[in-house]
Amino acid sequence: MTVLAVENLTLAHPGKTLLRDLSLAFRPGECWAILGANGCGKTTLLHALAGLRATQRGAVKLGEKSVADFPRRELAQRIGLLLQEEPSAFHGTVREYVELGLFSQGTWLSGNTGAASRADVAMSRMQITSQADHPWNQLSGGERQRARLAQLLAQAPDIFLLDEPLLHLDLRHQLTVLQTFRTLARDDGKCVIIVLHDSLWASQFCDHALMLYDDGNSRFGSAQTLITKTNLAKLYSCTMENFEFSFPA
Amino acid sequence: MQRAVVAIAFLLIAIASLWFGLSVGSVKLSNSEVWHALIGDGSGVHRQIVQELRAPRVFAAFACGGLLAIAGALLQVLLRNPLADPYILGISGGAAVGALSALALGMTALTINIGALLGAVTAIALVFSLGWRGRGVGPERMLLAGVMLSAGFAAIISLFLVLAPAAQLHGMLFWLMGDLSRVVSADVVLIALAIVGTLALLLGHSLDVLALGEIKAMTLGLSAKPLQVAIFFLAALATTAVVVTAGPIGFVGLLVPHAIRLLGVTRHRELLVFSMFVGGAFLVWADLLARSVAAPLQLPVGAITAVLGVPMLLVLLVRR
Repeated sequence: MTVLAVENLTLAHPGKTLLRDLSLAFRPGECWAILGANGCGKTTLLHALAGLRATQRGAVKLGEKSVADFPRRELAQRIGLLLQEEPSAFHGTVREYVELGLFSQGTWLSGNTGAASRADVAMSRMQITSQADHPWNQLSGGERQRARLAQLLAQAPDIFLLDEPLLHLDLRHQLTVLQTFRTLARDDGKCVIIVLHDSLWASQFCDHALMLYDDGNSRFGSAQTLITKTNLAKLYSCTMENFEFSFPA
Repeated sequence: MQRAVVAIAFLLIAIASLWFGLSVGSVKLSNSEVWHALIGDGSGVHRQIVQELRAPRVFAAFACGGLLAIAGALLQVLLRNPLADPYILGISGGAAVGALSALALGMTALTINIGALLGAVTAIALVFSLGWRGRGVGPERMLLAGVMLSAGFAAIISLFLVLAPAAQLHGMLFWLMGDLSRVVSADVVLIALAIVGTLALLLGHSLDVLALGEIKAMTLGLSAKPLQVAIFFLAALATTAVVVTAGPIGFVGLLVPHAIRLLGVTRHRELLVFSMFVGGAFLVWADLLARSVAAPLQLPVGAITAVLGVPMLLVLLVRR
């Protein structure tokens, strides 16, 4: 499996530098948490990693080649992205929705023949199998999020980019999702990169962390050493002394 | 399977409608008379009625209906707007200005068609260049460009209607409402239907993905930009072929895809095939009514499609 690397990457919106001069390699088997305040450029970075957005300076490379130079279909076989928002009015069933994740594995003319079984596996991993034949647009927010994750699992890329995957999920499903993706990284050698707002989950489930600051600076390293009260307080510009982060048994 | 049964049912409806269209008219023909006239060994009069009078018109009606329904379904995906129909991009407005110019100059039927074609192509070029932005088709921008162009063309059309001498007014109004009585040959629309129908069918699976949104489709491995261009030009080709042949027949392109969706069809490959059959059959029936309700007076088929179509869609909407 190939390494996804950013080299001297600079990303900006008009009037604001989101990320300055980041160089970093995401390797197979690693599980990354991207942390940062609202609007600091986490989603923009994920989109740049997925080749959806032009970079101001620097490059995003998959192996030797820039992601911008890959044909869409080939890129989708290697990199999958869970979007934070999906403004779609899909009218089919949950199963049909999940099967669309296999689009990059079919030819442009036809669907994938193994679609049904792979979609079934993905749905059962996301515990959405009981809803398989329900219309997609009748799902609740959390069920919809699980169906979207199942679609991504069916796509089966080498590199998973997840933009707030726990949105709308209850505690049980938050754990299921995090465990599923940690297993994919540890046991199957996939590379998982998660934008998370829950620092506690990040420290529990991820082995690497990337912190994006408001001024465009960033730091990265092992999750264990980086995700500390002091660092989080600085990252989110808030004090954390008064909070106790453990529940009574 | 269930899908196959539905597909065959729609196909049979289409064939039955075509057959009925060939046998009904001022001279009522039996099934065997139609059959013999079609294969060319019936009586001379019957052969002439079927082959020269009815067949071109019935097949043109079917092809136009099919093309309009496909174009509507394609544009509803491209523009991500349920209100999109084949005329929303101003193609019919451009064609109308071209055709009315030729009519005002007292030109022949052929020149009117050429005028319509030039007008349609001008409108397509305008809306495409206005609606295109760097990364792909901007649905909103293209919609607004189309609506603005249509408004501009509508203004020119009203000028034509006000300034035209009374003798030309009737022809102009008929052209504007959509009318199959001036069809001499169904060749152009049938060829267009074969091309557009085949290509749309091949793109069906990609359309399912594009319907999820441009960015989402790209993450799933679809090159959204070339597909959007292809959809635009397929819909433009379909619309142009219809408008040049029969004028802007309304409601088929808006109504039929929605009706099929309301029946529970969600995959685009099926949506497009069913829309083609149903759109074709619908227009055959509408044209039958147009030429028989007030016979020997011929009504413009565009008026009939609206009168039939509006209540049908409203009923489907309320029942959902």
